[in-house]
This record gives sequence, C-alpha cells and structure tokens, in this order.
Amino acid sequence: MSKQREAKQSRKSFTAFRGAFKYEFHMQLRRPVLWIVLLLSELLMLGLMSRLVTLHDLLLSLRLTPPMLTVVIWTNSINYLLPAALGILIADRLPRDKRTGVQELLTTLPGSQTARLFGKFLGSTLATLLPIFLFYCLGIAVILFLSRSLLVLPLALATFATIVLPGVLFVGACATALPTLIWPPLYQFLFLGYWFWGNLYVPRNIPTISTTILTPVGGYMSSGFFGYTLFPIAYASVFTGCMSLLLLLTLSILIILALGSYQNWQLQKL
Amino acid sequence: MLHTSHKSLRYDIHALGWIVLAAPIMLLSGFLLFAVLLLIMGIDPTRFFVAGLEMFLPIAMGIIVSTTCTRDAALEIQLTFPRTFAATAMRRALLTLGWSALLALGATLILILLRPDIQPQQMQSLPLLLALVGDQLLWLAPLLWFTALGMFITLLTHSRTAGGALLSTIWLLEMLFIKNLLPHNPWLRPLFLFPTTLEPTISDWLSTRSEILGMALLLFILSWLLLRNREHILKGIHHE
Repeated sequence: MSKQREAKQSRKSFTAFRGAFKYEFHMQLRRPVLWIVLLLSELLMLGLMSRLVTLHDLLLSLRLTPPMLTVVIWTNSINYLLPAALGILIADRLPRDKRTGVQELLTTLPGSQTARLFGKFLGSTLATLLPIFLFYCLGIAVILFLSRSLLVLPLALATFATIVLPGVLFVGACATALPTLIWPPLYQFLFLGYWFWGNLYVPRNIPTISTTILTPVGGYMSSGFFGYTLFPIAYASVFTGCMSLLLLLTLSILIILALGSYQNWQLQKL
Repeated sequence: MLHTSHKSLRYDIHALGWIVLAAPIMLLSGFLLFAVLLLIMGIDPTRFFVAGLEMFLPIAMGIIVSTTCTRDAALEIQLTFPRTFAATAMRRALLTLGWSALLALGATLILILLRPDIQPQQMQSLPLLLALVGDQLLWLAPLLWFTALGMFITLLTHSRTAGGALLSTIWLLEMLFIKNLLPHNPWLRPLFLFPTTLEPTISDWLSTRSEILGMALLLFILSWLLLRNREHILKGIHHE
C-alpha cells in the first residue's frame, strides 16, 4: 500500500517536472528578446573578433591549427561572454511568476514543488542555451569545412558537453534561485561582477577566485580534458577537471533543492 | 508649489523604490571596504577605486535605470494625464542619476585631492579648479552613456531584461577586448568607455569623453521620443 502511494507520488512529481519543463522551454523559446539579445551579443562578439585578426589570417590559422585545438578554442570563446547574457535572461523567470500570481496558483496543484522548480530551471536554461548552441554549431561547421575531418563532430559535442554545459547549468540554477532573494537588477549587476572577477580576471594584485575549480567558465575542464584553455588557470589535470565538473553540477542541484525548501518554508509561514 | 514638488518627489522615490537610491551607496561602500582590505594587504587600492567609479557605477546604474524607467504601478493612469509620461520617466531617471552623481562627485574629489597623480594626463596640466571639474568626466561620461543606452534598449524592445543583458555584454567586451583593438582600429576610439582605468596615459581623453557624452545625449533624445509615444509604452506594459 505504502509502495503504491510512493509510486503514485513519484508519478505526480514526474508529471509536474515534465509539465514545468515543457512550458518553460517553449515559453522561453518564443520570447523574441531571447533571440534579439543573444543574436546581437553573438554579432558583437564576432565583430570584435574579426577586428582582432583579418579574415585571411583567420582562415590560414584554421587550416594550420590542429582541428581539436580549434574546436577547444571556439568552445572557450563561446564561454567568454554568452553564459553571462544567459544568466541575465533567465533571472526574471521566478520574479515574473510571483508578479503575475502564477506561483501562488501552482501551489494548489498536485505534485512536488521542487520537481516543478527543477522543470522550470532546466526548461528555461536549455531553451536559452539553444541560440548559443546554434551559433556554436555554425562555428563548428566552418571548422569542419576547413579541416575536412569528421572527428570534429564528436569532439565538438564532447567539448560542448564538458566545457559549456556544466557552467551553464550552474549559471542557470543561480539565475533561477537568487533573484527570489535579492532585487533582480542588483542580482544582474552582482552576477556580471562575479562573471568578470570570478572567471575572467587574470590574477594580478586583487584577490580572485578565477583560478579555483569553482569557475563555470570551464577552464579546468578545457585544460584538464583537452589540454588547452583561454582562461586564467594555473594548472589542470583530468582529476581537477572532473572535480570542477562535479562541483558545478552538484552545486546546481543543491541550489535548486535549497530554493524548493525556501519556497516550502514560505508556504508554511502563510 | 513647494509642497506639490515635495509630494511629487516623495511619490517618485516611492515608485522607484528606496533600493534604487540605496544601490549606489551600497556599491561605493563595498568598493571602499574592499579598498581598505587591499590597503591592509599592502596593495595600492587607488586604481581599483577608480575602476569602481569609472566601470562599475555606470553599469550598475545603467541596469537599474533600464529596469525602472517604465516601472510604475499606475502607469496606465499616468498615460491618460495631460503631463506626458516622458517627463515623469525622465525626471525619475534624472533623480536616480543625480543621486549617484552626487556620491560619485564627492568620491572623485576626495580621491583626486588625496592622489592627484591618478588624474588623466590631459587634466594634469590644467589649473586645479578646472582640472577638478574636468576630472568628473571620468565617471560622468560612462554613467550617462550606459543609462541612456539601457533606457533606449528597454523602451525599444519593451523588455527590461534585454537592456540589462545587452549592457552586460557590451561592458564585458569593453573590459576584455577594446584596449587591444584600439591600436589597429582607431575608429573605435569614441567607444573607449574606460580609458582612465585601462589606459591612463591616453592622449585624447577629453575628446573621447565628449564623444561619449554626445552619444549619450543622442540616446536620451531617442528615448524621449519613444517615451512620448503613449501607444508604444502601453504595448510594453504587458510585454514581459
């Protein structure tokens, strides 16, 4: 009897997760602002990159550099700026639910609140990642065309999954949870400051955490698994790469679990 | 008349929220505390504090203004008033900017008087009073540029998030790439937003500041035109 109840409960939780995921994924994808912001960010990034090297030099270096290294450099370039825009684009999801009263309405439905939060987090994060992934694929197509090596394809998937995805999930979890606690514009500013100081800042005089394994920009995975990174890390091995990846994924799950507990606690207070 | 102005100011502060006025104080206090920490660690914190005024205050206020410029619980009623919402929104933006400008002015004056060597080279040859006035462009130009651009993007896209996200991308690009691009791309000089921190020996500091101020003015005019279009503002209310 108890087992049956547990199975029913887990089915309800899974339904809540699936429903929230599908809704958030589609809703986020249909937001014109998502495409406008990411497209403009990508164009700005490409525009500046094209001023750093001429097209001729770029094509020459693409032909001469080993395809694996080119793929790793391209994946690192993607992780420089775009996850920062992704973090800001997700930050308004839960405050919006609160503003429109949807959050209150959802609490009356069966199914776990935390499962719904996981659905919301994954749905909005993966939908926001889609324009970035398409842009990434465009770069990979150019590398594939110039290198004529089919090895580029599995390698590109592996670098994206290990360098970009864990960091993006961490950023998505923070962007889903933290704006419920602090004023969203303040969160946006603090997140931007963190992205620069905690990921991209090359250690000089000011203390920084950009060389620790808690760097969603993925320097440890990039250097540890593929032997190269553009980010300021001192030394990385396969072990530190795994540690960084696991830390980011674990923290992402813990952040959403903590948010679920916080929301349940708030409900009990009412 | 004075009573009405006082009430209007109180309502504006209420509509913006106290946190909007508290934000620049928190930011500059945070930078001051970190600067003290650096001093204890034996690191000269001057350049760090200049970065706070030139780089971090403008982006923070840009994000805040882009979020709050059309935020008003009674916006639909406001749009029916004979006084245009454009005037109200601009007044609120100026209130936010004026407050942070006051704090930045005080901080810059203290900083320059304590460490005159951190002034841009072009200012060092000027008489003290004129140099102190000119030095304020250090934070004023990027502050106006970021707020004007944030406001314009928000109004154009009907999205407060778009303003914050695009400003953040531009800010990161400026921090990371612009300095290396300038030697081979001189046409980018008018977009060099943080020369005092990134390239203190720059020779055309004043001219780049005035170009940035000019762009900010143009963006404010465009925002004003968008704000005057009541239908456009009304459409944006339920957009996000």
